[in-house]
Amino acid sequence: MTQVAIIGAGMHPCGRHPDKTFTDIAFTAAQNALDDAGTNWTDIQAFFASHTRQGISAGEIIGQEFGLTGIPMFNVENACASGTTAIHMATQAILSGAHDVVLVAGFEKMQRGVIGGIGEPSSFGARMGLNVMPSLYALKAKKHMHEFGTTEEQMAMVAVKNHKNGALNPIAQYRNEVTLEEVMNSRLVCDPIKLLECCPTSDGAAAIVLASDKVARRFTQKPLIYVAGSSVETSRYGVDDWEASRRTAETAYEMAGIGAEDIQLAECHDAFTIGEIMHYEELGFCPIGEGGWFIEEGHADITGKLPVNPSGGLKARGHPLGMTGVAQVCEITWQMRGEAGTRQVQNDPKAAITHTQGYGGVCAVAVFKK
Amino acid sequence: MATNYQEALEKGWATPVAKDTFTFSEDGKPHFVAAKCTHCGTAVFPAVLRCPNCFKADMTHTPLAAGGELKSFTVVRQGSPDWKGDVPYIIVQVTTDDGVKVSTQLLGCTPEQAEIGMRVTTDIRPLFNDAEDRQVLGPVFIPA
Ligand SMILES: [Zn+2]
Repeated sequence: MTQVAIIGAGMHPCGRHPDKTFTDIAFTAAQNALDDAGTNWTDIQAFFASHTRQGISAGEIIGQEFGLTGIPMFNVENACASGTTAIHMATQAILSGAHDVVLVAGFEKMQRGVIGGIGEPSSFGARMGLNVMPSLYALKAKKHMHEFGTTEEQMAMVAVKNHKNGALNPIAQYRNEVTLEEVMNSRLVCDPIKLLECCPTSDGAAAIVLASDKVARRFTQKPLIYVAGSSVETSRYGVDDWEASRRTAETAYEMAGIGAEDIQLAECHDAFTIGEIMHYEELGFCPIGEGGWFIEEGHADITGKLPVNPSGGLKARGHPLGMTGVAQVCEITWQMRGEAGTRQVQNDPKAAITHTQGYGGVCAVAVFKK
Repeated sequence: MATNYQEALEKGWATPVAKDTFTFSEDGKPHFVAAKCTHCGTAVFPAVLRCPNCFKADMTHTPLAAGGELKSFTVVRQGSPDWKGDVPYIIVQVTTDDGVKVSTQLLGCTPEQAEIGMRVTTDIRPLFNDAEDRQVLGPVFIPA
């Protein structure tokens, strides 16, 4: 059976880039990925462009900069899970036999401040002021604290860890460390979520080149990282908050033929710190309700038994919406190759997972093997 | 007070925040309006066209019990740019006494008074004024 390998990864740094267009930053990321893979644009047989608000056919606009080769191009929008969704679709395209070499680029240029324009504008939720991203996580946080005794300090520890990692990542938006006191004393946005527990809005781009195992070695001699499983799923009625991510992860684990106990590295959706705590549980790193202890005991540190978000995560690397799922896979690739420099994890991971989720109940997971 | 809002709505001085989200019983008490499945009895707020539980399309609109219990809450101190009312405001998840999960705002108390497990009851309150300067009325919870 065909296997899908990551043969190239490239990024444009996250941050504020008012002097650059989305085409500029996406082109840079894509060129870096093509170079890393040892490929040319003319080797690419399909292009998946992940973004949420860059306009009609943004992918084609970027593709035209590289050249009019006539290949199929797809614009993928699935809220914060867009990037992982694009990788899932690209993987499926190779598994189906339709293509052997494909490019995925995720990119976004964002406005400052809390995101608006979520949901149908005339709907009850939008008109009542209920569609506030931090509030959706804050409601989960209050419940988690009430049901399991998770503390505000444990949530703040996620921000401290991810800033510490981001400080080591040259493409991170925030390269400063923060203390627990600074996080705890930052202003409340949506109780109990504080400003330093929210991911920023950002400009940034990431790209990967995927190839079938049949052709991968024509391009690169670097270690091949395989997309062993992937899934995109949505929420169901009347279930617990953690159910969709758990179910999506289980599908991807099953496809990869491994379980949560085999995972040694993760990049997950820490849009707000409670998110990362819940994802430890949902992805199976610890039992439901024990995510607060998982961070407190240091397991998720770069030096821990299961490093989570060594890139700095959404929190410190940044969260240009369409980019994030692709940037996570860049990080997994560099870490599993041993190319992550000062933030290199020390446990030589053989299996890794990436996870994003977004408005509307979408959840996307990919599992990787070396 | 609810009766005044009923009259304001009838005369066009006020407008509902979204259609088919609340109603008044004969005694003038406000209720959330849910869609209830005639097959399996599942009720959903805001109303939907198909049952999320059995996927059949025979939904009827039904008023919900006025009382409920607060399951989670947050205080929005920095809102979406789309929100036209004041901050801070409190968002709550409530399970009504007939077992329906409702997310809306909690008014009539301070952020410090909100707590998981508290009893709440349905009310109608003005949220903000629209472009024609009509009061926009929404169904909310207040402390019971
Ligand atoms: Zn039904």
